[in-house]
Amino acid sequence: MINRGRLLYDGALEALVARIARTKRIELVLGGGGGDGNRVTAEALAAFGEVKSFHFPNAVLEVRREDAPATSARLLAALPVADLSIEDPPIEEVIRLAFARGVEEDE
Amino acid sequence: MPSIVDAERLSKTFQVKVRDPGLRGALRALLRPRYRDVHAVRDVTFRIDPGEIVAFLGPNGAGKTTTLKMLAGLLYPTSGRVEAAGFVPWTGGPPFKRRIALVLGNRQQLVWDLPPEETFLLNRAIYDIPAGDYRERLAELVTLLELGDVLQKPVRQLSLGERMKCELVASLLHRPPLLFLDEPTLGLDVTAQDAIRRFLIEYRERHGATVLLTSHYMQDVTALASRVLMSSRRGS
Repeated sequence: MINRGRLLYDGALEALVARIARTKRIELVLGGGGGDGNRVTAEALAAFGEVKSFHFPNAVLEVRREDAPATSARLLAALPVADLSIEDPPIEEVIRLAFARGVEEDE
Repeated sequence: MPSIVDAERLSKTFQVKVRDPGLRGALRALLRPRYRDVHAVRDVTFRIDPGEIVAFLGPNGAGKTTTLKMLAGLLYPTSGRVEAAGFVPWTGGPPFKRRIALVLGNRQQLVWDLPPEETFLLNRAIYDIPAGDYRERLAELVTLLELGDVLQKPVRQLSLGERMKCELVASLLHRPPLLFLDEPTLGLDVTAQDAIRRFLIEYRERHGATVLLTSHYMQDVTALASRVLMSSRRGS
């Protein structure tokens, strides 16, 4: 028996993203720090969230969805940030996760 | 507002012949065939309101095309109920077919050795489109899809993107309010994909058509669909 063809989800794409993606990506462009001495380090960034990639001056952090605004505020206050954006994970990634894990119903 | 598509507990089970390899397997399959049930679509329920663009997502083999074929009346469901554009698809006959279009990205209705315009004229006769309407609609579709000089070339000399655009023209000449598009951007380059997307948005705005489409390209989904349906390959 092959089991397939069940409907997993019916609704808006944004709602699916919010349900599947528990995290947001904070993309940073760091500024300041003329000399190597006062450059932001990966360790310093790790205090704010999971460092997905770091090639000075670009860094990508992953944080829990609900923490994204507060963490961004702390980042802006603590580090020399030239640019900051909060993004959902790529939609392909969300869909892949949804197929792999299934979509949990709202309780 | 009543739904334009209403599918309730739709299921389709195919009986697939199981055949062991080799001569012995071939003989046994001939004399004492064994079958296996493949549940292509299981218990699928959804509604679509007029004017919506809905994307149907799922891995290969998740039953997307099977569902579209049931909605278009090409397949009978094993169980369940469907109403599309006010008809039960498989008993709706010609009046139903005038209300829908089914475009399959990996099949074509254009005749390979003839210019696309011949297929358009054939469809004009099949759907009994008045000459004035035909000219007007063709001119509009050709402009929107930027087809220009393509119409007089044999189909075999067209690029994949041009062929897909012509498929859309052929399917829309009778101005159906309900479109089923199965991977309309399959295999197209980025520019052609984008042209198809912009066309679908513009076409819907002008004529208020309802669209159910499947695609593996997420740009199609984010650009077009207000809503997604997802189906899985694994059951529970």
